[in-house]
Amino acid sequence: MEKNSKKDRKILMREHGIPNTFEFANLLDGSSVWSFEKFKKGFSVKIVRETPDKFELEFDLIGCNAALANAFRRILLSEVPTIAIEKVYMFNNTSIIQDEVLSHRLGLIPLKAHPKVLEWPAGEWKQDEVDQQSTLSFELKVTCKKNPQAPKDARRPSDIYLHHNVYSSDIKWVPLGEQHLLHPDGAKKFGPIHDDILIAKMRPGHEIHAQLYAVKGIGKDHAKFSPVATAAYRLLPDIEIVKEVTGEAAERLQSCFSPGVIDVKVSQGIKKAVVKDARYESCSRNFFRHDDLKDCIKLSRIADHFIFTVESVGALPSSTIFIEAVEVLKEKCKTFLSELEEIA
Amino acid sequence: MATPKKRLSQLAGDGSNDEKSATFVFQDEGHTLGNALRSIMVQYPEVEFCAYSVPHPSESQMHMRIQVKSGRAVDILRKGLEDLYRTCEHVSKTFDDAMGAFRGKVKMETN
Amino acid sequence: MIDLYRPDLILIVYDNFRKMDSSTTTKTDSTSAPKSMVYICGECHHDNDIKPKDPIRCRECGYRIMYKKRTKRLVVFDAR
Repeated sequence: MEKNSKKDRKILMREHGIPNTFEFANLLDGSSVWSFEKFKKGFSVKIVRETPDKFELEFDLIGCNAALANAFRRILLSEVPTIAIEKVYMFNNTSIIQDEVLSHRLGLIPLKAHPKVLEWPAGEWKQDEVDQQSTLSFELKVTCKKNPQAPKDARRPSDIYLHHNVYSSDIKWVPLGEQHLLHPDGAKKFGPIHDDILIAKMRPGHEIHAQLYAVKGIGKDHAKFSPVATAAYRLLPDIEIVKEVTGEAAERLQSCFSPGVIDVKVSQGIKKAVVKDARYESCSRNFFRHDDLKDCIKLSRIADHFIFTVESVGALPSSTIFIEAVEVLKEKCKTFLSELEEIA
Repeated sequence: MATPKKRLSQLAGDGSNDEKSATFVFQDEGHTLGNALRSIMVQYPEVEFCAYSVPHPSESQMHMRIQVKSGRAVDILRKGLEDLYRTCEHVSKTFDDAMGAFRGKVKMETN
Repeated sequence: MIDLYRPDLILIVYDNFRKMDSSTTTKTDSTSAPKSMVYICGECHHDNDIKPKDPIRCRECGYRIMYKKRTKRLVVFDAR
């Protein structure tokens, strides 16, 4: 996309529809030819916001096409590998949570381990010889007992019982084979990301004793392996005031848009509406409900400006996840290029 | 197993335009690679027709049909993959640089 | 004929059924024949050691319906 045609690539949002969503309208006259140099010139990345814990990232991809942005989004959700619990060896479960329900819950608990620590699982799962290169093992052993030191008139379960709630903090890492040498700080490095995930509730006499094995996997296989809570993009909105809006209508116009988008400036005693920042507009198109404001605004989206929001579950920082996603797409290309070498 | 599973194959054509038109079958791929690759290849001047499809959602297969005015279809596929590879490299580098600059700026502002 | 006023006879009959069961099924039992199993009373939930040919009766409350404990065998689940 050439820089001077960027302003032409606006997707108009009219009252009853969107007239021009066709991405390659410019192809019909043969003017748009793909060239890597052209892409390089028009492409830029802008980082807007990163939370201090690095688990939420908002950034812009400018100058790329929807297919590429969507490919990144799809890979972020389903093809970036993570580590999650896959097999649960239940030794004893006398709680009221059924074995399979408990195993399902354990699988969904996010683990801190960095996926690079493990290799891909080789083949079928072997019950007796667990491969230490591709597996992390954890143990969950909790028994609920009555609290001997509870005061006579105690009524709360937390006072009467000990360990009546099983939290994710009860999951402890157990090194396999040589793992204690490879990862001396494993107890801190591996384990659930959050300590306060409630797994099960028990009463005195109930016991849960299980051995958990975690492997590397991708979201395509099971959603527990997805590294992002969610990853989404939207296009940058663009608001153009074609007819001046003044006075009381200006205030009304301001309320039609998201807060902070339209500013009402007073000049020579007249209140005038100006566009302050269209970025955080949610495009509710509320102004179409007012007949006098309908024709004053042209609302559209910039077709090649993608605002990405990546929220990590907590195993990897969001920026790392995006870089991994780009690597995954690169690997796909590499795989097929090497296969092409052999055929042709 | 010595050789890993072959993930790229070609559908038999009708013999009339063999090198200029072809349908390639990608195993274990879908819209993620298909749309991205197609969006690049469709903008090549030599390409007469380029489209992808996922024949059935239960089968994880992607078909890519390429018809060229001159040259070989398989060369266009190779060029498309190479361009997509370089695009990803560029995106990765640009993102890394932007991330570094952003974090540096944040550090300076907090100090 | 089973006399309803001779409850111990009923138990003998029942015990015979129990013995039949254990001889027809091929169970890999431990070598010691009088191995007692722990059953849980249906009413007071007390653990009772019941040996073969023992009357089925809770030690504490006398309830005659017992439940078996969960197996100590390993069960593997897919966390899916």
